[in-house]
Amino acid sequence: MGRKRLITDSYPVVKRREGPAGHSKGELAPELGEEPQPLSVDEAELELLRQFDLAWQYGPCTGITRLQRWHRAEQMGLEPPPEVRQVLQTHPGDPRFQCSLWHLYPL
Amino acid sequence: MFSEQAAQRAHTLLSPPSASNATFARVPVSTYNNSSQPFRLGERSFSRQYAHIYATRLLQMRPFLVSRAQQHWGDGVQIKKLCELQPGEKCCVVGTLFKAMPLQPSILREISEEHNLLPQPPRSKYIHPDDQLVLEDELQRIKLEGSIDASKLVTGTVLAVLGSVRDSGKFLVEDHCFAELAPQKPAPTLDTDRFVLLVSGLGLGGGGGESLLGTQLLVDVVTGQLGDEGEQCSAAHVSRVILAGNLLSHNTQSRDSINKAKYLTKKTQAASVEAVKMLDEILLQLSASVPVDVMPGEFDPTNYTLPQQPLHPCMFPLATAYSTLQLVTNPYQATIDGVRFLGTSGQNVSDIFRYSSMEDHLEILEWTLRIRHISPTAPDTLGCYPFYKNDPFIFLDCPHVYFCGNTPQFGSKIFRGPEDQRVLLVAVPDFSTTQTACLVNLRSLACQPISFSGFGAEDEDLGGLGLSP
Repeated sequence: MGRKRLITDSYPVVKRREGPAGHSKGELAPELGEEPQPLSVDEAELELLRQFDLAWQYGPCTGITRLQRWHRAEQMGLEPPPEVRQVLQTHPGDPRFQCSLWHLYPL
Repeated sequence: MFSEQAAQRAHTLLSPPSASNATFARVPVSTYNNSSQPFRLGERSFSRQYAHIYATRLLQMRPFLVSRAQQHWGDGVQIKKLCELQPGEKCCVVGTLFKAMPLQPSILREISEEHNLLPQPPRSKYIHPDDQLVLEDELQRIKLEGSIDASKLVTGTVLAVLGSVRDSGKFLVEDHCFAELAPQKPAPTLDTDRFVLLVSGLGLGGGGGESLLGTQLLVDVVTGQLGDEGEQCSAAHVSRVILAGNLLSHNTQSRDSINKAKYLTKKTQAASVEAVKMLDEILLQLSASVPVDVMPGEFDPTNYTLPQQPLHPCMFPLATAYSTLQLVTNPYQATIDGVRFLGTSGQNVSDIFRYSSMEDHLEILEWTLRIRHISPTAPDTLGCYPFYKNDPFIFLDCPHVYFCGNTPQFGSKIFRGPEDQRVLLVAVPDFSTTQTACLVNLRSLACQPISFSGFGAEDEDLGGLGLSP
């Protein structure tokens, strides 16, 4: 044998030419570049509240309602976003809005 | 104080009866304000974790520590969070301390089957040379090494450390500082001597008759039924009595009724019932004459976790007829004649004693004042209510008299703070063992022990009443 046999001896590397408009081989499922559908108002508000729960600056979020956490943050001088309070006041009594993200889990 | 005043008056005890009798009016309380509202719990909810207390403790203490760090190490010192640390760079970090102690009783270790361990017997101190210190802030934690004394510090202390991160990932500490004393309002100047009597550890229901005589002597001195006119005049200057916890003895807490069989314990009464009746009679005698503040302690029938709520008035049917009886929380905070009092029944100090190398209770009391927190070990080793809004054990302002009850011996000291604060520290001893109470003079902010001893069968001389100068 001369030099080592490489697989590219049997199967040469072929570069496929890109199509005219960057159109590649198969149509991938529209996940990554796809623009998200506009959320409904409720969904947008819930998303805002979820982001408030996950913000570490205002302390732990489990075990207390979001309004209690908002008031605690305000008293400590952390300046929580006032939009969160407005959203909470427009939906009183609804546990999806009032209670924290993990309120269904015990302690 | 007492004995000097008594010596000035003429002896009147063995004189013939006269038509006019001397009467002494007790000094009226000019101002009293109970500021223990932060320690009262209304609706209690235990469906919360303790992370909230630690988060609010750090949030509230951070500004105090930042200003102290700038005072100690210059304005240019860099104060960073743990996530922003660069290796080798000298900076200051503010965080909560955690001490990993191998000897600390751990319920998980006890019930873990793979270890097959019997529960650890209780020790007086759980410290070990291998204790590790860890500093935690809101997001991360880091091990500490260097010039920081791990044996003295306890879990839950908030402090600022100056140093740098090593390549090993540990933080090398060069210096550390605490929040030191809070600002203090100046003490008022009084024109007459007024005294407040501090007693703790009456230990009723304990079975021993020794302390009962001492307790009765104490009540008699305060109500003016003992001594000559000089002593009665001095006793009239006692404007308030504070009972700082452990009114019932440890023996009333026996759990026999749970451990023994039902047929053996059917007709027995809990030992605390008799003890509470005795306490009611003592409180009746005291409150008929002087305002009394009753704080619960470790062995008293109230909740176990700090802050302990006041004893229920239904237990004292005789004494609650008087409005001078006040049932207060533990810790207790009040302004008496303009002098700010703050004190506990001693659970915080004895818990720190168990987990730190400090031996003197007065030294531990001073240390809690310097870290600006009444009980840093709550909720780790001392039971505490799961607060979420704020941590009520942080000193927002500095008291004039700071006491703790149930210490093994009497101690008192004037402590001076960095901003000219002046605090009288009093370690009130356990009355059932030492027969000693404390008299605090509100005008001069000095404290004097007053001990009552009965004569035992062995004593040659009649011991009697000892009023030490």
